[in-house]
Amino acid sequence: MDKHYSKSFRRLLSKSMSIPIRMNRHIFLLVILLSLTEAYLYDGFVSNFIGIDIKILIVMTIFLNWLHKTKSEDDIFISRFNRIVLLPLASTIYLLLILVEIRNGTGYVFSHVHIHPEITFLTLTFSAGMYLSSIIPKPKKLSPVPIITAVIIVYSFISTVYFSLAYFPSLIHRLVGEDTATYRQRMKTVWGDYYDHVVLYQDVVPEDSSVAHPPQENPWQMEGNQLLLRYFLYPRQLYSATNEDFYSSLNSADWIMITAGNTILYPSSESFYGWPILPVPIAEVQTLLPRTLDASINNIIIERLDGSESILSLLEEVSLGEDGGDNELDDIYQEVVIEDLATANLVKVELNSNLSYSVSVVAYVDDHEKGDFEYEGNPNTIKNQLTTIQLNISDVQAGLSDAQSILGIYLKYTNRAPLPYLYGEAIAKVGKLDHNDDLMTSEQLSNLGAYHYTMGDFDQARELYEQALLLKSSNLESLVGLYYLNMQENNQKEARRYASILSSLLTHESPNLGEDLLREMRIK
Amino acid sequence: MIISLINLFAGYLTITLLGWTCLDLFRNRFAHKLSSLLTLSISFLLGATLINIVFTAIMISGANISHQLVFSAAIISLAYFIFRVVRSGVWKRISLTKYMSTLKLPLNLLLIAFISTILLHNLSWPVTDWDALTLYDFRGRVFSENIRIEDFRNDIHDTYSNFDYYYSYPFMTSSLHAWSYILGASTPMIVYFGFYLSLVLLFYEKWGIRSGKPKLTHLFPLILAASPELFSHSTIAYTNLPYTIFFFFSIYFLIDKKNYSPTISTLMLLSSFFTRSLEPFWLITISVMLYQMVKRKSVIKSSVLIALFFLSRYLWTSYAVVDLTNKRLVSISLGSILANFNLKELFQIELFLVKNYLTYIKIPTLLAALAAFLTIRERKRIRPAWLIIFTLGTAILLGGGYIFAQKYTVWSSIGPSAARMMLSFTPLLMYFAFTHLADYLNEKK
Repeated sequence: MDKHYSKSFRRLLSKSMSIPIRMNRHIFLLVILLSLTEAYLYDGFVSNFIGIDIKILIVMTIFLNWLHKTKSEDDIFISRFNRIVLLPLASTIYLLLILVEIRNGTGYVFSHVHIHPEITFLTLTFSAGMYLSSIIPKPKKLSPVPIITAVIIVYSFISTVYFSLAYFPSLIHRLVGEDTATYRQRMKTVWGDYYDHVVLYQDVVPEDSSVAHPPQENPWQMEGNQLLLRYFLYPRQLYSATNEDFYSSLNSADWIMITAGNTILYPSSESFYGWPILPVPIAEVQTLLPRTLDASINNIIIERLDGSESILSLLEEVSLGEDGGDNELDDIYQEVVIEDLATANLVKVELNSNLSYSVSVVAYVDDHEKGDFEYEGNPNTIKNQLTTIQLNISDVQAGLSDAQSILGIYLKYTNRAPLPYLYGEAIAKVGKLDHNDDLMTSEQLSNLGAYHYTMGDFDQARELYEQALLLKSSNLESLVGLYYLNMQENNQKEARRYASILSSLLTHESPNLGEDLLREMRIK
Repeated sequence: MIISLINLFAGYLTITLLGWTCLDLFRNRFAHKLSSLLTLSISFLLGATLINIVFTAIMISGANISHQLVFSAAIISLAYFIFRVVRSGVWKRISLTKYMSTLKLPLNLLLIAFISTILLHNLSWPVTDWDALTLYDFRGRVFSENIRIEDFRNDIHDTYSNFDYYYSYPFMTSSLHAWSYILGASTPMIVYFGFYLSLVLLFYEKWGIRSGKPKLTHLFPLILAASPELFSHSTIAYTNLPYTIFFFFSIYFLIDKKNYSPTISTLMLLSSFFTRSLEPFWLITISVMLYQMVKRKSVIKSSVLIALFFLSRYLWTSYAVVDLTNKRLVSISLGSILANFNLKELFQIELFLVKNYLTYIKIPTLLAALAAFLTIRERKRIRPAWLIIFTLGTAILLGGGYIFAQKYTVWSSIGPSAARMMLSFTPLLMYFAFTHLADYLNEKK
């Protein structure tokens, strides 16, 4: 049997020897070309294109060269070309590309020169194999089985080394790259923005506190994974707050995450990706990115009751949140001095701000019947767009017992977001807002409303939300709260009205909570 | 640099020294082959076994892991090693120049490139992988702080996970992480280098090039070391690699005529069970052990060892109350399988499984098939132990895979996890292939 195979094999070999020698030169050049094409396009191109793995072609050619060795002109040319040109060139290019990849990170070489550096190893392997085959003496006996065995072993060797060497640049880059020098950078390399989020939670939340987090669903597969969070946040207690048990979790927690999740890795086709969206009383917020406010006023126009207009001189540009640290959230007031306030009808301000909902016109009121209040116009500033905001003084006066109750008009600047989810990534302390003075603002009322909502005292919550809306018709938290209160009472019509107002006030936001609430109502 | 040295000391050297001390104290024959690379492998694996047994016992008993005890064990092992080596004068027989000269050989340089890349990576890279953070490293950290898993029972406020999760795998890798952290390591990743190295050293000892001209057999350690499945797993803190190594060595010590040791094999089997308790491959080791018991007529010793394994297994499953995992897996009754039995589907599933299995271990299977072909062609006998291993292995993979697939509505989704199971067979297939190929090539020389 064996002899028969050996004879056939020898015949095959001698036939292949009789193929014109220049074919060998062509095969040599073809394999180089194919290996370079693979490096240019992708790993597996040759296999997809001609159905044979490029590594098999390489090994077969090397063995063919070894078994074929003659002193023909062609063989001498191939041997010299390989030794003098290809081997040094392939080694240099491979090492150079790998070094560049190690220095700059995975994908750098391909994105710049459209070559997969790890695949150039195939050309180098081919060249080295051809060199070895030219110096290793030919076997004395041409038995087929040992040769096939050797081919398979060498193929296995090249395949495994090739696949594992492909890991080297990224592994070494991890150790020497400037972007992976610290523990934090290394974790960020693997976990991306999620690691920044957990570092914020670690920095802000004391170890003896507790945190409520979103459910483990898209897009919060990471932020909502309690097991994963526990690794970073232990010994802090963690509470998963699904929609069903949101308030039992929230009432056990001192802090609540504010997160948009990761919509790229975990796309959510239908659910809204801001969290939380249910009413939550928030006493303090620490954001991931600084919310520095830069606002500049272009024009302040005072419209009088008689229809005349006057233009006030420009106020100073305002910056907020820069000095007090990255996450400082605050409000500041700038007085708009208006002569003969009693005759003023409307204050219009044209301005530019880098944050939405950041500037509003407010009237400070000291009414002997109602107390001290702050009436606030709609802060419908749009990020980095010239916008006009206004306050109708006549409307404010109409609700007061005395027209003289308005003590002054101010521009109110804030770098807070009007709804938690609009922060994107943040951590918030659950609780009532502190206020030491007697002045009641719309924000304080809605915050108190949310607190009562959390406690299940819905009547009180409704009352406070409605009061908050009287002071500021665009109080978004109150609109959200009233939407949910009406949904609880199955008052769809009212709920839809609040959702519609919310939707119109959030027109420039994506995602728009009002739109989502309306969509959910349509589905239900 | 200093941090890396501490990591190396805490996560590799102390474990190896502890293992070697045990070998030496029990007068095991491997302890005295200091120049043998296999001794290094066994020492590390035994050290890991010992640490896990002690830590698991401590955790189960509810006691605290004494940091003083860990430091003392590490320092005593180091002192004992130095004392024994100096006293025995073995160090005089270790020729550094001989070792250095082997470094000049290109094949060895390539092997060193693979080993040292993993070494350097694991010396400083932190644990970053998902399951490692949620389970293995988390448990390691809390063990090192003397917090018991039981303390978390009332801390889980989650709809998607429960307390059982922390018992879903035994403590092996977590114990090693804890050991490293207690000794001051900043990362325990070096432990995984230890597992990888243990395997590579065995293959190098058998087929590595020490001098002279390179032969085809000298490629074998490199094919193993560069095997993408093993190489990639050695840089992540998952349990697959440690399980694979323990499982492989549990069989190695039964099938290698020169190094036959049922005791060490049982310890390795126990450790593989204490790394991944749900894998059914212990059946293979036990079957080979039974075969050797009959063949070598060592009924009492083997029976005691097998009983020890089953006792430990029973103790762990009773303690861990793993209703989350074990019960779920074995809950598929034979009745329900027979009720849903469909020949066409069986064929489709098996075909799908085979494709996935082979994709993952293409090269080891190719080499093993070639070795089997050559052995049969040369009219030589494949040893019955190998037949038991591969027959049972195939039965478990195909049968187990079928049962596993029954659990899923879309059975094609189990492809990647089915393929990953094959990692356990990579070293075995290669060992089989290389042993037989080396015999063939040496004869044809």
